[in-house]
Amino acid sequence: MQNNVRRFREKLGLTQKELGERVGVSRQAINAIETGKYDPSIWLAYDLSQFFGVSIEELFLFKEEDRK
Amino acid sequence: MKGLLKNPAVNAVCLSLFSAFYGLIFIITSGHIEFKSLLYYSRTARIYPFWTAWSSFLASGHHVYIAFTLIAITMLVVFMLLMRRRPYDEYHTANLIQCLVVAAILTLIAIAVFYLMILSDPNGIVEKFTLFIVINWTTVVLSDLVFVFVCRWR
Repeated sequence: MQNNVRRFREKLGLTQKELGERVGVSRQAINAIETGKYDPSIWLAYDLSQFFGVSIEELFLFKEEDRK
Repeated sequence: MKGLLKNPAVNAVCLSLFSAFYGLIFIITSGHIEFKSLLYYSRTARIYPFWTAWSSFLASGHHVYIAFTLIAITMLVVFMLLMRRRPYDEYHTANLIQCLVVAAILTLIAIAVFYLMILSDPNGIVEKFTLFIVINWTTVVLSDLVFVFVCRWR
């Protein structure tokens, strides 16, 4: 799933590891989310959007073709 | 369920019990007279290249080396699991589930194949079932090994 996690993270000047520590997941999880290899749970998506202070729709791009 | 899988100790305990059970059976049966008497292909006059060789391997008690190898890999996996300072996150858990699904699919395929083999020739069921156990055990241990290497926490 396409998302703006990398853009928001880099805007705050954080590394993947630092962002992972803030939201309670590993660097690998953040990397997998940013590269679209892993779709986070609704709670992790919520934690990320809360951390960045944006809505989930701003952070994750919901496209009909991505629906599983 | 996912909550349990997030704890590395749960994975370590399950894999240890799994390997301990099969390891004990392999070590006890290695070189055991009664086990040898249950083997068919090493005693029959007809030669089936693969099954005769496998049966002779079991009759010689060499399957204990398979057990030692898989126990060693299990110990490595358990050591890596217990060295973790933090529980897995949801991404790691998703990877573990994928590894277990692969192991389960391979086991189901092996069940179907071995069932067909036994139906086509019911002789040598001990040799066939022992080979199935080796495949099942190896698949589970290796899938967990892949998991701990892929999901190591740096």
